[in-house]
Amino acid sequence: MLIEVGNLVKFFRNVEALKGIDFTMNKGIYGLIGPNGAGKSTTIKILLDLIKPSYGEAYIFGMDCQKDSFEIKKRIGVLHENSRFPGRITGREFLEYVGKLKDIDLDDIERKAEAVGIKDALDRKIEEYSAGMMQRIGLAQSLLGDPELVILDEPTSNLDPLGRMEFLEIIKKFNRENGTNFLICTHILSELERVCDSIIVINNGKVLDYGKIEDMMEKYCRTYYRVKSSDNRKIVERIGGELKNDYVYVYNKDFLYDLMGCVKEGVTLYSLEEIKPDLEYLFKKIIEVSE
Amino acid sequence: MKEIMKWELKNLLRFPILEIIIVFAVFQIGVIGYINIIPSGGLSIHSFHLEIGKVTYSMITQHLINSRIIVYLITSLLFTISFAYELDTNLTKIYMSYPVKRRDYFVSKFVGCFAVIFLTFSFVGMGFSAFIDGDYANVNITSPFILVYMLALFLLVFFASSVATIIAIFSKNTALSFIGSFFALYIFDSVAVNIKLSPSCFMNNIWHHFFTELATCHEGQIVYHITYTEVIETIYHPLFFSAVLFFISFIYYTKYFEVK
Repeated sequence: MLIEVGNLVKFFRNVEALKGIDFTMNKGIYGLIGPNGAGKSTTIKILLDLIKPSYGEAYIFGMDCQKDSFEIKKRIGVLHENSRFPGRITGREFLEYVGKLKDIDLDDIERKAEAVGIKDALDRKIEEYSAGMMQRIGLAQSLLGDPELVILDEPTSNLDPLGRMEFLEIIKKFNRENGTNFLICTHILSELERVCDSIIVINNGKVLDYGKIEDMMEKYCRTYYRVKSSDNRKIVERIGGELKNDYVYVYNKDFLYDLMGCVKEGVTLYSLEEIKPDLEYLFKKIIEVSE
Repeated sequence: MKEIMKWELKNLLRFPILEIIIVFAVFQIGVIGYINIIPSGGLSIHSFHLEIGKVTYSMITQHLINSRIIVYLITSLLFTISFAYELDTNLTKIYMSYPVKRRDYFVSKFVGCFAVIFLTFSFVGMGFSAFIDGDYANVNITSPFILVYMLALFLLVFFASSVATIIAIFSKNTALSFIGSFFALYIFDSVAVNIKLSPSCFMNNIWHHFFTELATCHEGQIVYHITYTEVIETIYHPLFFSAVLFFISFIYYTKYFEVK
């Protein structure tokens, strides 16, 4: 188990930002998802010992995040939301400094810069970097020293669609080739689906549910089918489902035999679509169920 | 700690920060001191090195007291850059996500800023005293005058640094830290003179002790009448006050400080 969080509560003055967060994270790529202000960044800051919890416990690699943060930070990498790196120095100078803090082999800087596609810009001042390059150098610094776990807080928020795709590809590649585990904290769900194995859904300072995406889909929103025919009412009578806007929505998988029966009885079938819910739909469903 | 300190010094010594400090220090200690020493100096004093030394160092120390506003300004600026600006721009959050002990991070920043200010003003002060003496080879850093100047400067910079640090880490905001530190130092200094807490109060006392009443020049030798007790009593208040502020900042930063 990489991360274990139990009953984490955090007050900012009178505001209860976290109301008893509980989750565990195993190996793989996890998404910590939730709307703005849900408590994602607060949870991450507690994991990194940047802020103290009011109550509760948080462990990474089985070590206490508050007491053993120095040891934990040797084994993790972090990219914070809206990171602004020192502008008046070059990318190489910055990576060398943080590399020394982490006590790593400085040859790794070239390797990671190449892996994230920033090698050619290493000797340019950071203030000359575009938003995309800034995120890439942020990713490079988080990957220095091949950490076991990398925490990324809103890593793609400043990127254009193409930049996002490339960024997520790099994450997938590192997970596949180096076995690096990622915890990606974001509110942009559409892209997360392509890289994450599991999700942790958080809203209003509480974890609503967490687990593998397939299991969550099965639990909250199964694949459904949309049928359009010359006699939708007859189809509803024979196979069930609901009629909406000239379509029949069928939520049961075993309807094909009955549907063929309808066709044999003279109903013309115009279309039959399998609709797989996406992560945004799943997220909405989880929120609905929790309310 | 070594790496953080090196990084901190590299940032502080980057153009134009050091250049600005040197210009201010030269202006403060040099120009004002030079203008003031000319009427009281003159060629006749050159034959008495100790006398001219006494005048030179006393002038420099006195001008450090009179124009301490510049020390406060520079200290507010540097500590704001080092603490508050880094917090404002999320850099502290980035560095603290590395295996860095808060204790080392705080001490490196404090010592880095302190050293830059203290050493710049020390070198400019010593350089200027040599310039006024007209005898560069005669500058002796173990001379009591130099030591008094250094002690006065140390107390002044330590006091200013402690106040600037506590305001920077509590305000967590660049503008607030700079303006707040400068005005707090200015106001506090003015108030503290009356309750013997301020380093300028110390400097006035020590200057008075050394150069007016308790040291006399007898047959080319300086004779000191000041006792250790008197020195300790004079140093105690500003040093204690600055140390308490430093300790509060240190404990707060290492135990309770939240990087949001």
